[in-house]
Amino acid sequence: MIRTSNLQKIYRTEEVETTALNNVNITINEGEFVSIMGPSGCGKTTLMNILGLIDNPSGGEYHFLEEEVAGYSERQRSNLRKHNIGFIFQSFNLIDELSVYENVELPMLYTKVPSKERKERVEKLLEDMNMMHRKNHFPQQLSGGQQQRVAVARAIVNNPKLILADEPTGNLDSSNGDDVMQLLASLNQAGTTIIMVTHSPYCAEFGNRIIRLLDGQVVKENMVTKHHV
Amino acid sequence: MFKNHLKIAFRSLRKRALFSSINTIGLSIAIASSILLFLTSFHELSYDKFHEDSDRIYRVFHHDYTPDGIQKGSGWPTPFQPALKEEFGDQLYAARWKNNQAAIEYEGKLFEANFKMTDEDFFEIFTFPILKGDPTTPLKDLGSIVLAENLVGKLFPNEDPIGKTVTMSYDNIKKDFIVSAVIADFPNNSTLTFTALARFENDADYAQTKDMWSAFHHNVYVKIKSKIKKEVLESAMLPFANEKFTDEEEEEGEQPVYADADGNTFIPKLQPITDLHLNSALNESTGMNLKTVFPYALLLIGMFILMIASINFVNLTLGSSVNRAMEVGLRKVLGANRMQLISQFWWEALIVIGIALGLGITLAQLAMPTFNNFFNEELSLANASIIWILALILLMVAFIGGAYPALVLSKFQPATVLKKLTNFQKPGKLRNFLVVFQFAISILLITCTIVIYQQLSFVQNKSLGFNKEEVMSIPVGNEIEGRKAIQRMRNEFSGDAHILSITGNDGNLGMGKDLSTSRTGWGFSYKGEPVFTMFQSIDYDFIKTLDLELIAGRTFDPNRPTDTIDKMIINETFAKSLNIDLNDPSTMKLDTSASFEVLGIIKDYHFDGLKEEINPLSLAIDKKYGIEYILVRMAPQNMTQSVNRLKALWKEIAPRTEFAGSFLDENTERLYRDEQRLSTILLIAGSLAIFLSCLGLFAIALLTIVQRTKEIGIRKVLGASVPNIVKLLSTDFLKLILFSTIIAVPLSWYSMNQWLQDFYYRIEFPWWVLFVAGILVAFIALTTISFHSVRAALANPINSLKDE
Repeated sequence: MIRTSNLQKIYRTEEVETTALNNVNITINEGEFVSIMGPSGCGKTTLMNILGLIDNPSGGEYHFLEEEVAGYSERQRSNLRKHNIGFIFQSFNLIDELSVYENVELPMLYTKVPSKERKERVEKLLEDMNMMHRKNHFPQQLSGGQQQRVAVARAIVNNPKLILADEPTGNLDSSNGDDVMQLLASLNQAGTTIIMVTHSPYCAEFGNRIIRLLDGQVVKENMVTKHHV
Repeated sequence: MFKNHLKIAFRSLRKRALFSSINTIGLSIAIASSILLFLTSFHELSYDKFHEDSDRIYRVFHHDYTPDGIQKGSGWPTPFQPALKEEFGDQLYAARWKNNQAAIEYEGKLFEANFKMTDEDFFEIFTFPILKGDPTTPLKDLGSIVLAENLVGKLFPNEDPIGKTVTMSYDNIKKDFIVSAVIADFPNNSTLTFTALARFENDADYAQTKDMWSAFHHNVYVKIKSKIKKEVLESAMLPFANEKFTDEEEEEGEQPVYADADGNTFIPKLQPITDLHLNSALNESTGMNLKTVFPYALLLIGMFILMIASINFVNLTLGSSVNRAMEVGLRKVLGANRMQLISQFWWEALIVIGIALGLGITLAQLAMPTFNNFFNEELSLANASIIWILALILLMVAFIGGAYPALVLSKFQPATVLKKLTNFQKPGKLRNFLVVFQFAISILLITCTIVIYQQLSFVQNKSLGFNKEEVMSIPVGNEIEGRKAIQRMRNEFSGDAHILSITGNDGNLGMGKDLSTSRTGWGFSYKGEPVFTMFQSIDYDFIKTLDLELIAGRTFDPNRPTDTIDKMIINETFAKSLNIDLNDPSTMKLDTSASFEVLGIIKDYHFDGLKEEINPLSLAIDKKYGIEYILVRMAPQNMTQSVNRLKALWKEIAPRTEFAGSFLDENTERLYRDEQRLSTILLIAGSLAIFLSCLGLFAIALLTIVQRTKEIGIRKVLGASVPNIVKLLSTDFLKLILFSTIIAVPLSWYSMNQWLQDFYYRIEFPWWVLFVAGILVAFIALTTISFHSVRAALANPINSLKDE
C-alpha cells in the first residue's frame, strides 16, 4: 500500500539547511498496524505528514496505492486524501465552532455524501463510540477522552483505507488512552491500515510492527510479538 | 455545503462577537451617513434635470466689458425677448422671467403668492405638467393666470378654479386675472419657483420699459428647437446683441474702450439650465465656488467615510484570519478544496456586510427627519438607486475583504499550519498602508473643520462697520407701501426710550429670513470717465439707525424737501475713486449726465459681507424706488419686549403679512449659510472618521497584541517594565499616525487655501491647526491602543507562556 524509496525532506532557511528525513525506505502493506517511534525531532511527524499527503517530500519516491504521488499537486493530493486517509491528532483538532455531530459529518461534506447517508453514518458511529448523547455538544464541553473519540469517529467516517494517528494518546490519561488504543486495534482488525506515531512503548505494542527513527533515518524495524489485545 | 457555510459563518461571527460588532456597527454607521450625504449630493446635482429637454434649455446671460473688468449679468431689458424671438424665432423658444411677490385674493381669502411674469413660450420650454384647464396655451390671453396646485387647494378648496377671477396686488397695483389652468407644484429640485404665472405684459413697469434697452431687470430662458450647438447660437447672437446694445455708447460719441479682442463690448452667452442651481453667480471656474463644489465635496466625504469603514472591515478580516489558519489547515486535511474554503470566507464577509447594510439603511431612515430638519433638505429613501449603488460598493468590499483569507490562507500547506511553524507573513504592509490612509483622511477632515470654523468666526467677529446687534430688519411685503409703514411706525414709537430710530432700504443687509439678498449697480460717466457704484434707496435716519460714521458733509434732512431730489451720500471708497476733496465741499458735485450733489461721505462699511471687497456705494432717498426692508434700532435693554411691540404693531399695519423681522447679525451670518452647512457636515464627518478609524485601530491593536502575547510574556520574564511594554506596543502605531499627518498636511493646506480665496477678507492659513489635528488624533489613537497595551503589559507572563 505504501512504499517509499530514498524519501527526503529538507527544510531550508536563508542560512541553515535542516534535514528532517534522510533516505527513508519503508514499505507498509494493507492491513498492517505500524507504530513509529523515536525521540523528539527525529522526523516522525514529518514522515506522517508526507505519508498522509499533507506535505510534499523534497526528494525520493512515494508510492501510495501503487501510484507515484511525490509530485502530485495540492488538488490531486487533496482528492486522494479525502477518500483514502483519516487523521487523528494528539491535540484532537476538532473545530470549535462545530458541534460533535457536525465535526464528524464534515469530511463527508467534502466528499459529497448525500445528506441522508451522512446522517445514518454519523449516528451509527456516535452510537458505536457511545457519544450519541453528546452529539449537540461543542468540543470545549467534552473531556479529552471524549474529544479524541469524536476525532476518531471523524477520521473513519469516510471509511478510509489508511488511518494516520499522531500520538493519539499523548494528551490523555491512561484509561482514556487505553480506550482509544482498543478502538484503533479493532479498526485494524476490521481491515484498516494504521500508522501511528507514539512515544509510549506500551501503545506501540498494540501494532504489529515498530519502525524506529533517529535523526531522520530509519534505524531499526522489528515485529511485535507481544500483543495487548 | 451552503448551509454549512452559513452555519459556520454565523458561529464564527458570534465567537468573535467583539470584532463582528465593530465591523457591523462601524460599517452600518458609515453606510447610514454616506446614504444621507449621497442623497444630499444627488439632490443638489439633480436640479432642473426633470425638464424633458433640459439639455437644450439655457438661461441667457451676458459679459459686459466695463472699467471694472468684465461684468457678468443675467438681467435683460424688456424688448430683448421679443427681438430675440423675431430674429431667431425659428430656432428657439424664449420666455422672460420676472419675480413679483404678490398678494392673491379670491372672495375675501388672501394669500401670499410667488408671482412670476413670463411669456407664452414658458410652456414650450419647461416641463411643469398642466393638471387642469387649457393644456397647451394657458397664457394665450393677457388676462390669464396659471395657478399652482397647492395655492389652488387653499383658494378654491371646493370649487373648480378654471374661469374664476382672482385679484392680484403687486407693485402698488391691483389687477384682476382669470384662472386659465392649474399647474403641478414645482418639484423641490427646481430652480424656478412660483405659485402663480401671468403674462409679462402685466408687469407694473411694462409700459415705460417696453422699448427701453437700458433697464436690465429680468431673466430670459430659451430652448433651442433642434440640435444646434450652444456655441453656434451664441455666435449667431453676437451681431444681434452688438446692434441692440451699443447704441447708447455711440450716442455719447465714445469709442468702446473696454472690449474683447474682437472689439465686442457686450457678449450674450448661454448657461445650461442644469448648471443654474450650482452656479447662479455665473462663475466660470474661478477658484473654488463653494456652492458648485458642495455636492462633490459631499460625495467625497461620503466615500471617505465608507472607505474608512471598509478598511476596518478588510483589516479586521486580515487580522483575525491569522487566528483561523488552524481551522483552515484542518479543513484541508479533512478534504476541503480551495474553492470551498474561498467561498466559505466570502460568505462570512457577505453576511457581515448584509447585516451592516440592513442596519445602515434603517439608521439612515431614522436619522432622516433630523437631518432634513437640520440642513433644510427634503430627502427621502424613495430614490432606491442609491441603495443599489451602495450594495454594489459593499459587494466589492466583501469581495476584497474576504479575498485575503480566502486566497492566502487557503494556499497554505496544511502540514505547516497544523505544526504552527508558519510565521505567517503578516498582512503588515497592506494593513499599515490602510491605517495611514484612514488617519490621513481623519486629519484632513479635522483640519478643514478647524480652518472653516476659524474663518467663519473671523467673519462673524469682524466689525462690519455698522450696528448689527441692535438693528432689526423687517421685510415689507406687498400689503403696504414701505415708506408708509415706516411713517406709521415712527409716529407710534416717537419719544419711545426703547425704539431708538427707524429707517428703511431697498436691499437687505445680509440675508433675511426671506432668504433674499439683492444688489443694485449703477454706472454713469463722471468728467468723461465711466464710473460704477452700488446703489441703495434708503430713508431718513439711515446713518443714525445703522450707527454709520459721517466723515464729511451732512446727512439727509427731512426739513429740506430738495434732499430727496438728485442728492446722494456716498462712501469713502467711492469718494476716493472720484477724487473728491473732503475739505472742499464745492467739489462734491457729481457732474454726471444727470447731475447729483453729494451731501455727505460716510466711512466704509461692509454692506455686502466679507466675501466681497468694499465697493463704491451711493445712498439716496429717491421716491422712485421703493423701500423693501424696514430697519429698526432698539436700545439694548428690554429687547424682547421691544420686538414684541414691533410685532404687535406690525399686525395692525399689515395684518395679512407675516412678521419676518430678523436682527442684522443673524442676516449677515445667514450669508455664510453654505459655509456653515459644510463646516457642520465636515465636523460630523471628521468626528465619524476619527471614531471609525479608532474603532478599527482598537481592533487591530487587540489582534496585534494577542498575536504578540508570547513575546510580551518573554520580555517581561527577561525584565521589561510595564512602561517598556506599553511603549513597545504603541510606538509602531504612533509612527503610522505621524506618517498620516505628513500626508494630510499638504492636502489640507491646498484645499483650505483654495477655499479661503473665496473670501476677500480672510484669515492666514493657521499652521498650528495641523499640529493640533495631528496631536489630537495621535492622542485619541494612543488612548485607544493603550486600553489593550496596558492590559497586556500588566498581565502575568506565566499566562501567556503556558499556552505553548
